[in-house]
Amino acid sequence: MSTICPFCDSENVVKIDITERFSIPYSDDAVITHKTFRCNSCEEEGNFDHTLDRELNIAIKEANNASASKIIDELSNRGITMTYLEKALRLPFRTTARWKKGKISHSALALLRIIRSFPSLLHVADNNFSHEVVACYQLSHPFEFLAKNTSNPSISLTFDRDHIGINYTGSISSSSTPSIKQEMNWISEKC
Amino acid sequence: MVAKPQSPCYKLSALVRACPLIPKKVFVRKSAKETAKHFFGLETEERILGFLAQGVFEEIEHNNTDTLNHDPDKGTSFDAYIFKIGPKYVYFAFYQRRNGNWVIKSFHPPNFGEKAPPLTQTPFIFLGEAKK
Repeated sequence: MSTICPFCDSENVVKIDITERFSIPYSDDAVITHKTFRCNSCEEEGNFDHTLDRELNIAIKEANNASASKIIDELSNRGITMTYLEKALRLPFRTTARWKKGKISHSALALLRIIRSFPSLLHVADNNFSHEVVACYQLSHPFEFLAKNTSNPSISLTFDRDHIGINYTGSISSSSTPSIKQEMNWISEKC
Repeated sequence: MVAKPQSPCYKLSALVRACPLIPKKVFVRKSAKETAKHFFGLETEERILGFLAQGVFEEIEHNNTDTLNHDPDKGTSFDAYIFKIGPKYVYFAFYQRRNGNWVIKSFHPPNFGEKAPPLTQTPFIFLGEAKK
């Protein structure tokens, strides 16, 4: 039975190979050639009968899973051992060895990418996400902290030959005041 | 005299219910697939339909309803909505063909208005519109 174009009902449909590029975080783009239908009448392309998705999805999954190994190597090169990562995140030991072999779930790969982007989060996790450590983490990301807790921000910069200064002023919303006071106390104690 | 805005022609919930069906009842136009991949990271038709099948559209608003200008579905009405995925707005348009199949016509950031991203983020969309 011939495939009919779902956009124009033409029977002038052929199966073609197309090459698509998929961005894989912290890895080279995956360039995947896969089959698709093309309608020569209306020039639409796609998986007209639901039979062609599987091989593309497998290829994308394999490319994503392969990136786990690269991320783990990069973290190791930065001095973050997998034993430390497993301890900090309370994962069963040897978990990352499985990840490195490409046996990794979607959620674990997302976690690994977040850690690769913000390795200092491991320190927060290692301290069991305590309020004090979270506050210190926020101190190291001041604009994120201020933007979250204030409105009507005003930022001014000073700069001379040897110094750079940033002055940020914002209104603290009343709902944020108690938590900010607490966090500022922790921050001032730590610094 | 100002024309009265047309209300939606289709039930969005009917489209949502059709998204997971096999054999397929919902098809995504090539251009919509490309923009969904480029702007929203929905890389395959399956991912787009999987997202729509959730039926979770933040801050959704009916944007417009109009008719198609080109064959083979000339004169068929389409509905367009704007909703949010996280921090980004989506302009989303679809219609139902006479044979009952649904077609996703558009899935891209709004081109105009306060919900459109700044031009510096989408210069090629603007250029595409200017060429029309």
